Amino acid sequence: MGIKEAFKNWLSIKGRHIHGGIAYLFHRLTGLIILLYLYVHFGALSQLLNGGASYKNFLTTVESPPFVALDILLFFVIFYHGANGIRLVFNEFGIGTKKNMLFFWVMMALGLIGWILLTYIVATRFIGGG
Amino acid sequence: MASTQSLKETMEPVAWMFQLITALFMVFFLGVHLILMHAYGLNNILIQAILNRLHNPWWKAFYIAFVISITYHGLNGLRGVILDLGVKKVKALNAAFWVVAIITIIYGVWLLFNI
Amino acid sequence: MDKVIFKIKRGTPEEWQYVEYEVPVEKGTTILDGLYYIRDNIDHTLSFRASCRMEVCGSCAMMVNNFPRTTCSTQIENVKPDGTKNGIKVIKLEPLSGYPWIRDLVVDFDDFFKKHESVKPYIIRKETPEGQLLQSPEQLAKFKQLTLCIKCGACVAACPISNSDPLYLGPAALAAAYRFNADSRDEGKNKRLAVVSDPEGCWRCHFSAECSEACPKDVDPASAIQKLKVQAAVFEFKRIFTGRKDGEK
Repeated sequence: MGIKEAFKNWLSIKGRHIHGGIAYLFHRLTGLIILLYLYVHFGALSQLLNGGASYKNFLTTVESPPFVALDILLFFVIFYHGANGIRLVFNEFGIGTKKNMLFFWVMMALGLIGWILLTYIVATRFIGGG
Repeated sequence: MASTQSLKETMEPVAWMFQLITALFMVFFLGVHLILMHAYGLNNILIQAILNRLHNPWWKAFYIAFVISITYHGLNGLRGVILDLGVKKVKALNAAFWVVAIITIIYGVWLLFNI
Repeated sequence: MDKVIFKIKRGTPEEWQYVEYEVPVEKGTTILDGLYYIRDNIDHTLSFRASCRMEVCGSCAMMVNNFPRTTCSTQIENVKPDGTKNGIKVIKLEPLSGYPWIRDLVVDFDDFFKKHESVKPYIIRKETPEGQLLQSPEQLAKFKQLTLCIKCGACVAACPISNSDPLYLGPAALAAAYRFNADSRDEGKNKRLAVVSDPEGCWRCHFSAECSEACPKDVDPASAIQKLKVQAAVFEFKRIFTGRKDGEK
């Protein structure tokens, strides 16, 4: 098997279960997005160097609607990775492996609630604060 | 296969254990970080608020632990993704992991002390 | 009489195509029955592996609509169709994924059995025992489900990691390692743990649990591998702290 075929199979969801292979693939993809964001975030923090001269402009940019929308998307990615990840920590220690489908959907529900709450808070700040 | 392994090559369970431990840390760190940054309006992300926080040693310790955890968790995750693709050069991959992780942590901590 | 269309991936890795066959179906007709019907009545060049026809030998596993199943124990009327053609249900049959493909529905199991052998799937004793080795029903219950494995290889075909990483030991071999580690008569636990804690051993499992979904015998390799990870971690920590390579006292 070449690396190309391996990568194709790695991305495949054919015949996989939502609480199984698809959840696994999403976990990896969201993980990679968060890792990428970590470096973007470090770059953004570099704006704070030199007394933060460039930070003010930066803050105005990231407080615009398209950036806040991206933020909300990022929350979704983080909440998915977190909720599914908590399940996996338990599973990898051998807890709840026999009921992993139920466990998955319970964690998804909790993650969704968290995401909606945070989105609500951010959206009201944005609309209210102007 | 495994019969020829030396002790140094069997750090995989340590890596696994740390992955799970940093995962649990991150629930706390990221939870606090997200609430702090987004639930208080703009108050907490204005430059003065950030500088005040970073001059508090407790917050500094919090962020240092956060940087180390997230870098380890993220890059070890990436290492796992690459290993899952059937990569044979495990030693080279592990070395690359350590180099990138140490550079990232040093830069992150340097930022915390220089902002 | 009802009919169904089998859409079968035929040929060799160099040259292949999907070929469709119409198969009559009665209540209880299995996919394997359908394959025998094709070979007896339509095309006797069709290659597939099968033997016992009763979910014991583990020969006839293949991809049924993208998911691995032992075809002898999969009844056509219970399979969700891959689509329809002129109102007739279509079932797609392909060789097991994640294995080197030989021809038609036949794959190469050499690597699968080599990996299985590498975890030492037999009882290891330090000395030859005198008389019988007794075991209580409670001790048996700890691993009994795992003894039901028929080595059909469906778990490996379902596993996303086995499909992208041919070096990974795979769910079948790892479950076999746990089966013998959990056996009260066995004394070779550390020898097996030294094999499975390889970077290409149990650490490549990230619990997508597709293996347990695929297993026709409900062996649940996914749960066994997680327990094996904890055993392997304890073993490796002992190795690191005592400096002993074999982990023995």
